[in-house]
Amino acid sequence: MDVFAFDFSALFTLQALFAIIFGTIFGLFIGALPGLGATVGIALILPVTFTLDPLPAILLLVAVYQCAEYGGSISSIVLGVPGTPAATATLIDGLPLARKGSPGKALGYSLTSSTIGGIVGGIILMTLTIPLANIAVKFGDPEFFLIGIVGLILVGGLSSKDLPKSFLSVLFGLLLSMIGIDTMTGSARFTFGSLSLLDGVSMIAVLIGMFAISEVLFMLGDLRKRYVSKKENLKTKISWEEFKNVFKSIMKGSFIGSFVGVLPGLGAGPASWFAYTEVKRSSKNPEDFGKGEPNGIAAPEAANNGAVGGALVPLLTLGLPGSPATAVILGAFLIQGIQLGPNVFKSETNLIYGIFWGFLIATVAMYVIGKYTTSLWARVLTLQNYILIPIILLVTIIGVYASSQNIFDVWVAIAIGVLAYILKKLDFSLPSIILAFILGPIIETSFRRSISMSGGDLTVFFTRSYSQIIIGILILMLIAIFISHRKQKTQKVKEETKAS
Amino acid sequence: MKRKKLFYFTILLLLITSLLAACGDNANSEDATYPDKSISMIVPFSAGGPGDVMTREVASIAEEFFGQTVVVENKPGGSGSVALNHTINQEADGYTIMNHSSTLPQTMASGEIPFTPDDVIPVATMVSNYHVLAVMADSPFQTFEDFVEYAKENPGELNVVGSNTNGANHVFSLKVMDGAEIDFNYVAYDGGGEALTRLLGGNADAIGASGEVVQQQVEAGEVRILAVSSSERVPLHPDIPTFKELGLENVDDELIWRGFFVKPGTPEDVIEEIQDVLKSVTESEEFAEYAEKTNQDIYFVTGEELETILNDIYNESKDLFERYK
Repeated sequence: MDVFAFDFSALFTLQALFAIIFGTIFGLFIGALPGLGATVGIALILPVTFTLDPLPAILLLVAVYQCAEYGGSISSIVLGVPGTPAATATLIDGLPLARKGSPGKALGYSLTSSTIGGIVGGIILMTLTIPLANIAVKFGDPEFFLIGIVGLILVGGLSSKDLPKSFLSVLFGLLLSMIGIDTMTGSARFTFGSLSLLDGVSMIAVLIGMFAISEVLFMLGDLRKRYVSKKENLKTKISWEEFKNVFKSIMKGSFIGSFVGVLPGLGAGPASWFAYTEVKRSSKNPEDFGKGEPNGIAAPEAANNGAVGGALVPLLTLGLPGSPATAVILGAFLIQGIQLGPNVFKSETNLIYGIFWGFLIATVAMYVIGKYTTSLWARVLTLQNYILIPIILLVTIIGVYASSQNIFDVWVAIAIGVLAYILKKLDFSLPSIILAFILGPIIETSFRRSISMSGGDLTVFFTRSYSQIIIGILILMLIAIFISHRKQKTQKVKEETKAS
Repeated sequence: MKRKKLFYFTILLLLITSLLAACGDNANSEDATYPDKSISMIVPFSAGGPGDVMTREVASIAEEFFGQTVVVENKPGGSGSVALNHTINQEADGYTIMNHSSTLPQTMASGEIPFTPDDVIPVATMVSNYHVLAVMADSPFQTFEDFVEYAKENPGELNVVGSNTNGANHVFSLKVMDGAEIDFNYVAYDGGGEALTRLLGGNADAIGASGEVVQQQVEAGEVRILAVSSSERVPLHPDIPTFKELGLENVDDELIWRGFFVKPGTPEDVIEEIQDVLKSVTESEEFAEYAEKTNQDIYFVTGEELETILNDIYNESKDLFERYK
């Protein structure tokens, strides 16, 4: 295959370029509205593609996908209202940086990292599609179980200021994720007869309740506070020095995102969290994270856009959608009369290469359009708290309602918000709860499927070659966490002896 | 400046009057003939899924025949019970039409949702797809007989993947077990694509899914179908036997279909009107094109015939779920 032999004139048609630009603007807008993410955005724009040629049709959807993943972080950073699990990872450092008076910088870090993440994801898509898909498809349930466990240990080990509390937080997140119909047996768990709980607690209600509503409760303490007073701080940009400072985190995030994105069923949410925890783990000053550390914005943002390219890998090579968003794109291919599958690289070479290149152009368009539009959102932070709080609450409630059109979820969000406020006051770890909530279903179902398939034999987790690699990584991580703990301890002891 | 204000005021006034005019349209709908206002189609799944795509296709074609706008609303959640609950809480006037599939009576039978077939009236089915039992091309099972033979010698050892518990794939797998008197392990995934991934990765022995799920891999020569669940051989795979031919009398036209339902108590003439429109939709060129592109067959069944199908699925599934608990 030769990606460079592609005839670029197919890409530079009016229809294709218009599709990319329109998709970019629409994606940014939909992504910035919490509750409506990439999947809803793609589904909403799908009817438009019916009248387009295949290449512009798919590029329109891919542009929406890419930009909605980025746009999700805007409301996270500016309002503290996360619309997706991925954007929640950005919130942890993005919101404090914006509230310290630099929303433009926070948005700048996010945009730059997203763009680079998108490009890295695109390049991986172009060069490694077939080998990567072949590896990803071999991942079975034992591997997914182990990856989930790695994620839990990472986050548990990280927020270990108080180990028992972080352990309890993980357990609480797992418990939340168990509510609803058990996918293996079909029986209802912890639903208390409520129809609305049959599908589990809504992810968006949990995210928004836990971060946005609890934050609003904290803001009530200071109604006259104004976060941004200088206008030049609204501009979406970062300096070259600042960029160099986060470059390593961007690259880490991009690669983690691209590779985790390839695995069906994981996608952008876990990818961002893995990237965040890894960058925090390897940082020289992990205590700065959560207070507006730029590296804490760069890594998850690069990861969630890297995951977009990754998620297209199994879709384009095998016709397997690994996420709800790619499932809708698969539908669009069908409507265009193109059957995605192992043969598509041979039968539709030009279309596939067109998508690859168009994907990169869409990412660049995202940077340009994002740079000039996102600062508008930052303006919200020039308001005083007594105006800002009602705006946030309104956005929150509309967001939760729009995601499911079920008023029950709004109540869930409010209840979780109040609970999260108390937990935060008591110093429990909200990220641990969220990550456990996201990974819980993956860990549980993959564990039970593994056991079901192996006929109850637990060695299935140790005997497969991919499992062994993951266990190897797991052991290395545990050692790394242990060593850094020892270092911190001895450092503390040294400082204390010096001080005395 | 004053002029500008006046201009805005006029526009505002115009907008308000037109809004009020729109309200007036609905006010005396009692004695008019159906339909004289917009119709909602409720989709119990999130946007973008196959049920949603079909309903949107139907809605856009049906608008012409109804002479009214058709609005599609997604009410996902609770294995369809959120949408069902919404539908039976509206007036029984035919303005709320719910989309669902043959999975509905199956989830009802499993006791997963607190409803029975008496809670809905099936209006019509639109499209269908047959089930297949398929293996990888390099699998030792060349025929369904090989599969049965191995399963008989090693009961419970073969892993067959499919989409969801208590759904169409699950019932299909149970029926194959029942008919062939074998025992294998059905492992449920969230959707046919995920199940197929496990088969392709060599993590499962076979897949029990709708034909469209494996079609591309079959064309590429990666996957081999052992048997199909329709009563006749399918034109796409003339060489592949049906389960009925292989002696599984109980797996006869075991189809997955998608259709529409209304609330019990809806007037007969309204139901007939909807049936007529849906029939015209299935006969339209656009719909034929949609069905072909999505690898589905047009399958239009209504009235008593459909009610019997619905009740049969319910009773049969209930029996299977109890026996294979």
